[in-house]
Amino acid sequence: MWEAAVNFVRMMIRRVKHLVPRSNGSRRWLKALFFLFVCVTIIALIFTLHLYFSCRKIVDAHLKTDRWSLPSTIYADAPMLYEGMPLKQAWLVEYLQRLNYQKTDEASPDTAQYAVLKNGIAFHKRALFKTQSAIPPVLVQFDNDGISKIINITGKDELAAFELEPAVISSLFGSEWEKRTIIQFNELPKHLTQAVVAIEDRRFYQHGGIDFKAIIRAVVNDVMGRKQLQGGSTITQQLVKNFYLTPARTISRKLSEAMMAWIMERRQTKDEILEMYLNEIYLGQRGAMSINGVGEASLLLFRKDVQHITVPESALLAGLIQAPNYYNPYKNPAQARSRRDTVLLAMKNTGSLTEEEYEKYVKVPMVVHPFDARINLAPYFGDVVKSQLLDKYKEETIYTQNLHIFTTLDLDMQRYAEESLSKGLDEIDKLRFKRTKQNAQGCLIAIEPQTGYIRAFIGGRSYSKSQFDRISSASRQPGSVFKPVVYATALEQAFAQKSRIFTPATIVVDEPWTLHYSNQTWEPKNYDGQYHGSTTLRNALAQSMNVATAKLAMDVGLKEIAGLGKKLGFESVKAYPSIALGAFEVSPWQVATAFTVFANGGVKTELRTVKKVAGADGKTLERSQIEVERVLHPQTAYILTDMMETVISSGTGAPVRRWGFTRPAAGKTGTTDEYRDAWFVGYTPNLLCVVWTGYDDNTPIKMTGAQAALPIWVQFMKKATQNLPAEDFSSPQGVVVAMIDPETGQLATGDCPSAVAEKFISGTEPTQTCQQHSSHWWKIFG
Amino acid sequence: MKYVLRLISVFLILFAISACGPKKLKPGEPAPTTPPPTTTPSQPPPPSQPPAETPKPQQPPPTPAKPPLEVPQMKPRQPSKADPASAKLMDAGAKQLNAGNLDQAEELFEQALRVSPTNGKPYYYLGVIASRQKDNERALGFLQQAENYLHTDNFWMSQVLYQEGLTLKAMKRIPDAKKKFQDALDRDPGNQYASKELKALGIK
Repeated sequence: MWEAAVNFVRMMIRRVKHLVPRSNGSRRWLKALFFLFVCVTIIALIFTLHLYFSCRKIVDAHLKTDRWSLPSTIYADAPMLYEGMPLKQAWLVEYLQRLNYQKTDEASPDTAQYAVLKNGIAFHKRALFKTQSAIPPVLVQFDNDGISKIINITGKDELAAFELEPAVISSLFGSEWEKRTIIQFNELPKHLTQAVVAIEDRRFYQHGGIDFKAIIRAVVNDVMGRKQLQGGSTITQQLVKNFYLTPARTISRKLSEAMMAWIMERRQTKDEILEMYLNEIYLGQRGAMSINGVGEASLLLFRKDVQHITVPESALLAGLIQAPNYYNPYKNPAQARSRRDTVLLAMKNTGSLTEEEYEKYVKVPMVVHPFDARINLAPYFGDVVKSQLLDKYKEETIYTQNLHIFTTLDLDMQRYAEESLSKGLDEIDKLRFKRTKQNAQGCLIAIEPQTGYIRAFIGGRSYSKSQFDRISSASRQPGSVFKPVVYATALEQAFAQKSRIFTPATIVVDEPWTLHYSNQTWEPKNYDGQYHGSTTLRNALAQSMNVATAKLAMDVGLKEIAGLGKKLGFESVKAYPSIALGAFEVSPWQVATAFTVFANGGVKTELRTVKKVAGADGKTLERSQIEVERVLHPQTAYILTDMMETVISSGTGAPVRRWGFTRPAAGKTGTTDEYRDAWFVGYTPNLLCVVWTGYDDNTPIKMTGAQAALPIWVQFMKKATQNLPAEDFSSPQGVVVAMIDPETGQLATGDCPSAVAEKFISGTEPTQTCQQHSSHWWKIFG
Repeated sequence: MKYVLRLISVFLILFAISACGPKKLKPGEPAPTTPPPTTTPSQPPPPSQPPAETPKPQQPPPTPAKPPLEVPQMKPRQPSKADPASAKLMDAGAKQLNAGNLDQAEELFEQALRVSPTNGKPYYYLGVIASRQKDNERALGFLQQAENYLHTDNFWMSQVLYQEGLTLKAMKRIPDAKKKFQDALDRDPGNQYASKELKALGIK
């Protein structure tokens, strides 16, 4: 097109030359000039039309589609408030503050506001979607035990439960790391639009997209070397430049910009243009992520929804537009303050502020919220969520379609997990770093066993240093953490019509022992090198006796153990003797899955990360279900849990109590060969947690599970269970209790030196009274 | 006579030694020379239960037919403070279920579970939903969880067992289904649905 136009001009010049007479007659000159004018006009018209149609095509196409590629957002699980919940008032206030709710004195707060009243906390939940029906403000009342009432302030009715707004964990970005919170024009405070118009384009509401006065003023100021309060580009021009053009300073780009601005003004109202502009503009960086739009900038700088910002805060935001990095209030507070005051002055000059208001606001100190560079509160978890989503959605959809991904993660628990793991690994380093010259690694996963919800997920010590997720991808030996599977297989024999029945009171002899198996010999040893002689299965598990467990495994059957192991989720388990001591590889994810069965009355629950996926409009695209499968009899699961309670009350897990965790809990320590892995797995009736510690290169950590992993577990569980109701493990039907002599496993009599209450699957309880401690008379005459 | 007297004196000495022998223990009480008990510190006998017999110093020698010690009772699930809120959510869920809105109902029952994860009733309803969705294995999983928490409540257990029976029947496991219907009827003889199913399966 351009070439054709140039050729046309050349041809015209040749014709003009031909027309110009050698005699220089004035009439012929005029004719020639007129001809030239007509040609230029035609050319200009062609150019203009071409420019118009090409620009119109671009603008119209853009306005018909989504204006921004918005990343998907991953949300944490929304806390559920309910009557009777053991929750402190301070927790609720802190949670609302964390979600940028603003404090107010109104008894019926506005959206994203809360009020601390005499009779409780009133707040008004934000709607995540524009299409969502109105959410009424609520009043949460407290007594000494926690929440006493939840009242709908508008309807005055009581609510059984109320789901809070979920917190954002992270966003899923593609190649463009732009974060943007879309704001509608009616949500923008008037003083913000006034500030922006005052400093960027005073005649915004008067011009038609191009402000010729401003251009002339800018040129004059430029020539005269004067300081300019505002440039020559209008807001509409800036908007189209950001949307469609490059920043190159060429005439063709400027012409396109002007044409597009003119077209835009004919397609959109002024308010719509301003809304787009304020959502589009770049306003700084947060780590690798760029902050675009006043909605996102307001959250970053003031921790406020933009509708709640003050006049000086509006002025600060408006001032940032010209040079976001130069006027960055964190890096250059003096320049930012000065620019803010300039905007306030402009507002006064345009009549948006009175003299008094200006004097008042210009004295207000510039306050911004401390900078928080963290853009992902659970990076390992986010990776798992992302990889699961990629199985179902296209990359482009995830990165650009603003999906809302509601997950199971509890952000409080996640924070406790991070703190506990970090502190625990630091303690290990204090003891081990000098020898190993490397930092210990670890991971922690916490699950609600009944639903399989993952509540906390830390795949390693530092995501920035290593993105390798040790929970789902590491292969480590489970060691003694696998022993409960051996004992579960033994207890299950009661239902399998086997000739030999095992109970927690079954006696097994812990002594030096050699197994000859498939032309090989295997001689398991206890970790402490001690042997305990005759003991019950309960005690053998509590003290994590290797020889006793290995002998039990041979009695129970390796195929049966491997079979149950597979059902529980240990994919690589095979039927050979050393599986009894966990000599094969598993991931912490698998360990967690398996233990849900014990914690959940024999029912396996698949671990869940995502609860629901919704589109940008709030329409549900996918809802994940609780997946359950019966694996063990409930009686087996209950008795095994009871045996693992003994691990904590008086076995290898006893430090749990010494460290101050007092709730009913069951657990198992795990230490592998040469102390390469240290595990602790434990659960209360409503929370299960797996902790692994070790080194990535398999260097021995030289600590037991009780020494390295257990303290992390305790630190986490103490905090994580504080808002959960305290409950005990409840027994299913078909479990009976009998008093037995722990030395013989038989029914205790009054002559036994000690008697303990033991639990049995109904029908497997011993029937014979203790023969060893019968009375002298019984021995003589019986 | 001298030997008879000697025999009597030996007899008396033995009697005295026997009377001063090892002390009888209450359930769960540790012996002085042994480690602390390894089980059930949280499960003392209920208060209504008479305490275990304690030895009297001058008690006659024990008889060979001496019974084993009395034992503490199993403790079922205790009501939770979260149960009332969970119940209200379940009511809302049940309304959705009756209206045939399975997705909304499932969401509400899951919320009820979140509030009180050890309450058995939401599991029952989730089992009903899974069963309606023809996901029988999943249904049985939920119903087992319901059983674990509801086994002391005859009415609810009867409902759970009946639902298990229906699920097993749908899986063509007729003998297992019959047993569940019978168990449901045993738990609650007024459960007419279980009775009808048994009749339909040819059992009087």
